Order: sequence, then structure tokens, then C-alpha cells
Amino acid sequence: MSDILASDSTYTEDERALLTRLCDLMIPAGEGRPSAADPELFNDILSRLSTHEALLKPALAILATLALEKLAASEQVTLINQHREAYATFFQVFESQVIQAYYANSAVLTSLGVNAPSPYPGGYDVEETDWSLLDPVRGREPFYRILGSGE
Amino acid sequence: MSNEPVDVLIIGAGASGAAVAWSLADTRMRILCLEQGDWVNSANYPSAGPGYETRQDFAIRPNDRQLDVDYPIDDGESPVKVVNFNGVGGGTILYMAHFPRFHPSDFRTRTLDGVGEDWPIDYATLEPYFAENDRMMGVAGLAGDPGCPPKEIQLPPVPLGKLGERIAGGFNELGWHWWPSESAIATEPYNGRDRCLNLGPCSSGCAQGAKASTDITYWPYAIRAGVELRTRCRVREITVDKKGMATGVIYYDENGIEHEQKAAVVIVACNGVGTPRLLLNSVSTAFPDGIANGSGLVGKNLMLHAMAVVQGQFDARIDGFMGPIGCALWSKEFYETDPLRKFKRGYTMEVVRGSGPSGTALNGMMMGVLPWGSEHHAAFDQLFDKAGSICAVGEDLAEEHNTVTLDPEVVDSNGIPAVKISYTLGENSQKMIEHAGERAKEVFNAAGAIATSPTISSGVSSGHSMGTARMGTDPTRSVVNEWGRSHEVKNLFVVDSSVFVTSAGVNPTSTLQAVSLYIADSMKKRLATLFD
Ligand SMILES: Cc1cc2nc3c(=O)[nH]c(=O)nc-3n(C[C@H](O)[C@H](O)[C@H](O)COP(=O)(O)OP(=O)(O)OC[C@H]3O[C@@H](n4cnc5c(N)ncnc54)[C@H](O)[C@@H]3O)c2cc1C
Repeated sequence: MSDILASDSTYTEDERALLTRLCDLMIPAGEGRPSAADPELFNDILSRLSTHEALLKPALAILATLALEKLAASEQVTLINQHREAYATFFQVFESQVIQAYYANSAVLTSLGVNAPSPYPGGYDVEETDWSLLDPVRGREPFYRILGSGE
Repeated sequence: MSNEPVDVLIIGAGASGAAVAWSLADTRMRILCLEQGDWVNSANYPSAGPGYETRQDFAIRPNDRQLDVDYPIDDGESPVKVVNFNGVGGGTILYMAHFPRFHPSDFRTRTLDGVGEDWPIDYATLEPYFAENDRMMGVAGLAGDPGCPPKEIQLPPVPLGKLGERIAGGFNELGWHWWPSESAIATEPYNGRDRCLNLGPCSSGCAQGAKASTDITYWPYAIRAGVELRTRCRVREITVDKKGMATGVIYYDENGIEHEQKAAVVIVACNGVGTPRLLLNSVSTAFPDGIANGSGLVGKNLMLHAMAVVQGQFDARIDGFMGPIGCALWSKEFYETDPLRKFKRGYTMEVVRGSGPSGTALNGMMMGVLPWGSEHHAAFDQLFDKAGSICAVGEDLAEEHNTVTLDPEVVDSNGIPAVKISYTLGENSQKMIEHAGERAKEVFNAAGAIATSPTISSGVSSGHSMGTARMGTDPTRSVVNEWGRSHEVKNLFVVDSSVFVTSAGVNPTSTLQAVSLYIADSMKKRLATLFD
């Protein structure tokens, strides 16, 4: 989770609403996993995005003119995809921060069978290896170069 | 802080600095080690907290971490990027603990294959030091590998996991060699370290303390034996007297205050990039081109390894994010020179386990295979925990134009000139990479992978920096002699992988620690005549 508080962000109400929409479009709820716009997740995302405001706000202003809310979800995604190249930096930063928040979220990790919030201290049981797998190699003569005298 | 003169001053508390400090401690000399970084608290490692995959303070590239203890490294033009860690333990804090030894042939490449140069020492000379180092670090593995000389192993091997077993099956299908990797990981409690919990991301530090980083292996013993380790002390230069002998160093403490520390013997252990940087920064009337640089070879012959990485995708989950990321199995099938191939020398294939969820998703987005919208989850599930990599670590031949030089413009937080890496992959390396990439794909196909990536050899990271102050008997062709002493400055030693003459087709740490123990022992045997 980011150390910066979402409340520190200066995104306007409208910008927050658009960011929420974009989060939900990027990763909607499904397969037992929450939407990236889920309030807890969104708060984390917003706080991460607050360090990139100067970079993101101009692109947000242009994306706001697309009036995404008037379209069906699949059409919104199509429209976003059409704008990805033109606003490559915006999408790189936005996607990277959404992913970092989403795939560090305890509910998401747990649904993936990954220890939450971190591998330690629980660790994982990796099943013991059946070393008979090595039998074909065990029969081989040493083949590293054994040096003669003077070599 | 007392700057009373000491008998031995070691610069750098990483893999080699720790080993040499421990070995020299039994001489009862006054030994001081200056380290620019801090001690690391294992509770702060990323794997002990949220967001563990993407924390930048333990990023492997110093340019990403940007901590004040790091120094900038301009590797923008190099296809291989330099990674390290600056703190007690050095690179072993972040290393993957894959712990192969150099092979006997690696010390004789000129005689055997007509490339590179022979070392002035050989495998047999280092053998007892390899064994001593293994006991100190604690090595997991399985005796009897036909691809390597026999050795004593301390601990049972790291389990292969489903991914490793699938890939091992691929090697068997092809009739190629493989063996469980030797790993500096406590698979059972060892010397006060607890057993590995298969956390996964060893390359951001081991929260469990099972991985053999030298802050928890050598250093506690060295300190108990009387060695003083002073952290947050960054050495700017080695000082000399009129006779050209080293007199000590100038360093900056945590507050940027300059100190002079006198010493009878100076040992440099700053790694293949940090060591030439310090030597080149140590300019005096006696040594206008940097100390110990009469041959002009300080910073030259940089070897970073020829790396070829191929990722394989499977159709089922393979527990790829569990277990030490860089330790599963290796193959020596293509290690030694084969006249039928288009290149000399060879490589080890090493299996690297898969990424966690964030790493998988970030990579998927970058590759354009993780869409927005309702298909996101299904696409993620196709990727997550279904991929692993084979990384071939290939022998990189020494070439003088591959260099570490001082950066004329960039300085670190103490105003000390930073470094620039100029490095290209030679023709031999390129052919080796091509060969290794194709073989890795064959292994994945034989293992039942549903897809393989193209071979990646550019933009890869290497913490293996070698050759920049190499050893030899000829002062015009080497920087230090056959036991690590500068040819010109008789009380100055280098003990890290800068002294390597060849790079071999394996990770270097086991060998560089054996070399540093050997140099320490050589010093101990000559105490009365050390400066003759
Ligand atoms: C991500 C990663 C993965 C790796 N995986 C493996 C692996 O699986 N197997 C393997 O064999 N190797 C691996 N390595 C490489 C391994 O870490 C290095 O080979 C090893 O640490 C080098 O030892 P060294 O003593 O030469 O230098 P280091 O361990 O780098 O130590 C040098 C120390 O010197 C200090 N220093 C430098 N300059 C100064 C100065 N001017 N003043 C004071 N102090 C200074 C630094 O802060 C540092 O602590 C990996 C490295 C990284 C970063």
C-alpha cells in the first residue's frame, strides 16, 4: 500500500470519477476478484497516482471529453484502446500504478493462492522432489574437462 | 569515531570483503573494514511486507534505487545492465544464491582453446578454499554431478517444484545433462540460520535469513573475532607516500565529514565496478593514471557474462512463484568447448522460477497480452504461475575495449566521480547466445511448453562484474600478482572478481570468495615478507 494518503491528492471530483471509471474498465470485477474501482483499492490507486498529477491531469482533461459514460462498457474499452498510442505516457503510468496496487491487494492475492500481504512469514510448501528423475543423468560418466599435466 | 592507524584496512563489506576479513581475523592484527552502505534489517526486506514485488528501495539496479549510499552507474549504452547492492553483505543481499564453482578448464582457456588468457593459479590451488567457503556459506545440492568436479555438499538440494520437474523432464527427453543447482541456501537449519521457506523473491533479500548473505554468514564471526566494521563510510581515494606505498584512505562518513584513515595494508573489495572506480579515483603524483595502473589495465577487460534468456509458457499452474527464484537446476551440457560449434568455451543453463502476480501482470501489459475489460482476468490466469525461464550464463571473453571508466560529469552524493560502462558483446558471445537460446527453446518444447519467448540478450541485468584489475605474473599484462598484490604498490591488494582473468560460464560468487580466502591465506603465509 502506498505511503501517501489518497486525501493528499488534488484530483477534482470529476477527475476522480473518471479515474474510477478507468479503473473499473481496466480491471472489472470477475473470477471472484474485485474491481480495481473497489473503494479500498481505488484509495490505494489514487494515492499512488497523486505523485504523478502533473503528468496525468492534462491527459485526463482530454479523456473527459470522450464522454465514456454514454457508452456500453465494451465500447468504452474500444474507445480507450484507440487513444492509447496518443496518450502513451498517461496509460503507462496509470496501468503500472493500477497493477501495482491491484496485485498487491490482500483479497486479490488470496484469490490467486498467494500469501497475503507477503510471502513471509507463512512461506510455501514445495513438494519434495522425486530424485529418481535424475536416473538417466546419474549413469553418465564425468564429462567436465579433466586437465592433464601441463594443462 | 577513532581514526587510529590500523594494520589492515578493507574497503567493501560484500562477498569478498567479508571472507577476507574473517580469514585474516585469526592473525590478531588490527583490522578495520569501511563500507559505504548500512547494515540491512531483514524485517525490512520486501518479502516481509505488502507490495513486495515492486518496492524500489531494494531494486536490483542502483539507478532505480537511487539511495544516497549508491553511486550512479551510466550503463545506458551497454546491452547488459549492472546490478549491485551497497551495504553490509554487498551483492549477496540481493543475489539469487546460485552457487556454482568455476570449472578447472576456466583457468586454462588460452592453453586449451586458444582464447582469453590462463590464470596464474588453477582449480586445484583454489579447491581447499572453495570447500572452506562452502562450509561458511552452507551449500545445498546433491553430490555426484558428472558435469563438475566432486565436492562435499552441506545441505539437501532445493526442491525443484513442478516447474523444475517439468523442465528436468525436458532435459531427460533430449538426453541432456541436468542436475539440482548448488545453492547457498539453508534447506535445513545451518549455523544459526533457519531453513528456507520457499518465499520466492530471493533477489530482494531473504526475510527468513535462509539465504547465505555475508552479513549473516561471515560478518558475525569476523566481528566476534575482533574485526571492526564501520558503515556509512565511503572511501574517496587510497593515499600514498613518496615511496609509492599506500598509507591509507580518505573517506566520508555519514554526515559527509572527511576523514583520513591510516593503514599498513589496504585491501580493496568493492567489486568489478567499484574497485576500478576507486583505483582510478586514487590519483597522485606517483600514480597520475590511478593507483596500481602502470599496465593501463585498471577498468579494462570488463566481463559481464553473455546472457541468453528464454521464457517458456505452460498450460497448467506450476508453483513457479514458490521457492528460491534462481535456484532449481542447472545444465552443463554445453559448458566445455566443442569444435563443432561456432564459438569457443560455453555456458550453463539455469532455470529461473516465475514471477509473482504483479510481475506477471506488469510484464503482460508490457507485452500487450493483458487486455483491459472483461477479458482481463482470463488473460491473467493464462499467464500467472504458468511460466518459467531458462537463463544461459555464457563465458564472456576479455576484451580491452569493454571498460569501466570515470564519468567526467556525474558524481555520487559525496561528490566522487561516478562510473561509465562501455561494453559490447563480442562475436563469440553473440554466437554463444544464439546457440543457447535455441537450445533453451528445445528444452521447453521437450518439456511440453505451449509457447516460448524469443531469446532475450539485450537489456538483461548482470551482477557479475569481472576482469577490471586482473591477476597475472606479467606486470605489463595484469594489475595484481598471482596472490592479489598490486604489482606496483606492495601493500595494496585486490580480492574481488576484478582480479578474474576469465569469466567462465557460471555465476562468480563462489569462486570470488574462494579467491579472496586464497589471497588472505597467501598473505598470512608471507606476513614477514609481505612487502618484499
Ligand atoms: C540481483 C543480483 C543477483 C545475483 N545473483 C547471483 C547468483 O545467483 N550467484 C552468484 O554467484 N552471484 C550473483 N550475483 C552477484 C554477486 O552478488 C556478486 O558476485 C558478489 O556480491 C560480488 O562480491 P564482491 O565482494 O566483489 O562485491 P560486492 O558484494 O558488490 O561488495 C562490494 C561492497 O563494496 C562497497 N563499496 C564499493 N565502493 C566503496 C567505497 N568507495 N567505499 C566504501 N565501500 C564501497 C559496496 O557498498 C559493497 O557493499 C547477483 C547479484 C545481484 C545484484
